[in-house]
Amino acid sequence: MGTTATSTNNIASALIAEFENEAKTTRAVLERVPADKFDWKPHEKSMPMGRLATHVAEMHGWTNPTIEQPELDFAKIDYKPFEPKTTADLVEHFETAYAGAIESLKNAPDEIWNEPWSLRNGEAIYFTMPKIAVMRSMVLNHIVHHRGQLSVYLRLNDIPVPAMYGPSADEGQM
Amino acid sequence: MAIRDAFIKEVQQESVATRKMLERIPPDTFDWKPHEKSMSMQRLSVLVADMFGWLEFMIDQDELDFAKGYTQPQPKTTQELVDFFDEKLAAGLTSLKNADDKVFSENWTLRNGDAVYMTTSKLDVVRQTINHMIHHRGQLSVFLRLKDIAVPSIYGPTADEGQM
Repeated sequence: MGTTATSTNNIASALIAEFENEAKTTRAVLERVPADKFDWKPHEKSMPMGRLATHVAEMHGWTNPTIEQPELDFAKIDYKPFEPKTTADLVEHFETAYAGAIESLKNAPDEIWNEPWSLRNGEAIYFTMPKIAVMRSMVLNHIVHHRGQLSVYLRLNDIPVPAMYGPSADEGQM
Repeated sequence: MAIRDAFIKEVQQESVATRKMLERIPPDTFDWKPHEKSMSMQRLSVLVADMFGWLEFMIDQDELDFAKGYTQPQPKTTQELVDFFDEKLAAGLTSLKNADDKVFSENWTLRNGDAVYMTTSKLDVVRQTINHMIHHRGQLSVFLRLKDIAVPSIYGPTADEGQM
């Protein structure tokens, strides 16, 4: 998707600034998830810590299909969740997905954001929304949501919680 | 689309799952906390309920000064908690509806008397407040899970609801 001389990318610029800001916190959280706790979960119905942390990392990678494609069809993809062995694997998975997201955003002109985007499984369409709404809710807000859950997982394992939007009980006291 | 219209739509959309979560919190769990350093269920849920109301002073005023006092209620019932959320949501939406685009480029300051914690644009502080609410609501969803309260679908299915 190329930009033309007349295209502006004000929307992408704002999203990049927000992504960069949030990524500092996300990185600080992921760096603290110890590999020996990847299988830990706070409740039988909960995601294990390694899976939740991987999900936070991989969601950054949804930026590219949101921008470059009109849909994502589960029936056409063979999704295998990444399984980190170490904290460094996890952080690297995040860094790769995050760098890809920023790259895609840099090439996204303003006019694409009102294009419709669908999530489907073959014939079953789960939703169709403008790309800006997909980026906003299914990517950015969704990351913040699961990262919030992950902060409780850290707390329950006596791992210091980084300051996020304000101080935590451990760090960033005003 | 005006900046305010995008925010209004997003706040309305996010408030659906927020309200659903608050409606499920029984008062006999209000004092519970999962860890000694955690907020109690009541404190966390009141914070989540309060936050869309912050948009009122972020848009209509130029600062919040903790030195002038800021208090949150201590609801006794689930209904009181939900009523507080509804009242704050309505106040935030009213301020958004009356906001011209130019208001979002004005500065906004968080301070405690002479100590200035931050000064940023109103656009930035509104954006961060929505994210901040989502962050604490995510924490609250774990609190619900740990108390065996069914977790509503938020961005996709949970172990209890919204299976595709």
